[in-house]
Amino acid sequence: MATMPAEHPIEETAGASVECHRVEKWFGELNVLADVEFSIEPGAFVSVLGPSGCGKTTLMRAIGGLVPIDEGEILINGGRVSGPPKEAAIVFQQFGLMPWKTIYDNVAFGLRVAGLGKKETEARVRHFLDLVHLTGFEGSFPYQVSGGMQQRAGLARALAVEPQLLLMDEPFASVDAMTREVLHDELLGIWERDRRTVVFITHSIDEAIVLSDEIFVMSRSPATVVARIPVEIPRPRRERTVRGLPQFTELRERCWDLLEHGGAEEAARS
Amino acid sequence: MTTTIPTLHAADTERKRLAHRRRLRGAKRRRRVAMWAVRLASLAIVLGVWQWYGSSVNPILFAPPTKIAHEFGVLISDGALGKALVQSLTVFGIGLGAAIVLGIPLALVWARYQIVDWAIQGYVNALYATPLVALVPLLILWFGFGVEAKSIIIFSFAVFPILINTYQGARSVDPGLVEVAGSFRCSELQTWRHVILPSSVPFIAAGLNIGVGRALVGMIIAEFYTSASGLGYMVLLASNTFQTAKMFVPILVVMALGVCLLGATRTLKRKVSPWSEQEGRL
Repeated sequence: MATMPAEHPIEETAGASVECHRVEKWFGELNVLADVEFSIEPGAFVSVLGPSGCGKTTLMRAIGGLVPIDEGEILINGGRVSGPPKEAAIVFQQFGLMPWKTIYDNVAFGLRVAGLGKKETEARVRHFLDLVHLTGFEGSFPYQVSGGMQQRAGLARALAVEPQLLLMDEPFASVDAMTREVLHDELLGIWERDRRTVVFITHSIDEAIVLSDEIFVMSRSPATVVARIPVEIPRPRRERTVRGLPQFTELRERCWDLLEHGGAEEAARS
Repeated sequence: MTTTIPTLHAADTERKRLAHRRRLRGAKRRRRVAMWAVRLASLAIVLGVWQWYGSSVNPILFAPPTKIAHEFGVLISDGALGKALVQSLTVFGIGLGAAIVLGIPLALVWARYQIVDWAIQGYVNALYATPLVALVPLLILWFGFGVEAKSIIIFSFAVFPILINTYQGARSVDPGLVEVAGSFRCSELQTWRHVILPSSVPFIAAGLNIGVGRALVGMIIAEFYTSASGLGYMVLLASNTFQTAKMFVPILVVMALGVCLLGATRTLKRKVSPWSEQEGRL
């Protein structure tokens, strides 16, 4: 279970619970997910760590209701997922911004689709643009801003619909290392404030340790959860301080061992 | 020990910045002046050679610019050119308008429904590949010689590039963005409105660009083969009566029309889809 440090107890959480029971997924003859079994407490930040191409993205897409599963069931707040659930919002690896919409309109997208009123939409968009430091770029088009800023907009778009579950699919894999560190800290800051449940897909051990309450380590295809590692580093966290802790190195070693055990060394090193 | 680097005063930096901007502007202006100088010189040479050669050969075969300009004046003052232009633009407008109004929605339905795709793809591709001039006599047989027939000929020339480009646009939408729409629980209609249509816009504009060019070809051909009207007929009449200088007038008008319309559709494409000019950076 997600472990919360005592000095930061959750009074209430805006998060949803997630359960996977014996989830199985096939792509034709290829068994992608086998017997995936876990549950996530409301308000936990969980990273799903695994080698590239192991099926972790498929797992996220299944939780997000974008691909149907062949066996088992996925429950969000106890309700079975059979399409994109209203509790969830996704942050995509390639940002997934509409190139014909301005940053403002991209962030407003989910709200407009949901039929929110104009005033309320504007207030929320302004709030979340401010939260991700994009104020002043409302009128820019995605191609006019950097990758880091595009993903900030992607994050704001997901947060704007006030999801109880944030699904993040290697969201920082395509931004440069320096920007990634800044974005980690910003995400930590945002998450520590309202504690939505996060399922964070990554192939970076460091990223998983810095951000998560718990790390699910996945095996190579067919993927299944081989270990659940609690990260008992107190919050609020910031990347630079976490990296200096002895626990960080220990956890890193543990994850490495598990991934190597799963035969995934080359992928995890990338 | 640290070395301190003397800092520039703000006023200094500002002055340098302005000077640099002046230099940039000057270079840009010089470039533009050079461009126009070359263009005008080139035009003068072409007109000069044309004038010299055009005056030296049999006037049935060729005409110098001065004579063409004179005929141009005559045709404007007696209203013949204006009348022909209106006739041509009327059928051009009807034909191209119908191609746009029918072509785009049909293409969207075609792209959306697999059954429609299976049913019509073969015909559309076959007709697009057919030199449509071959069908003109048949169209005349069916629709006569009037405005109706002319518009239909122009329509048939223009509709296929518009149809096929729109179809390809709607088909080549980024599946990732459709997935984004799905994750925000867009309805089918919302997915079209927010993702598929805007993503097709640059393709539609490109189809329009080709369609306009082909509609112009269709217009002249229609006027060659059907009843006496328009710029095409003006060319034909002047040619049949060996008034070569007069023949050049409608040709030059059609040329100018083509340049303007193609330029307009290109500008339209840039205006409606600025992001598509930046594809490499996405």
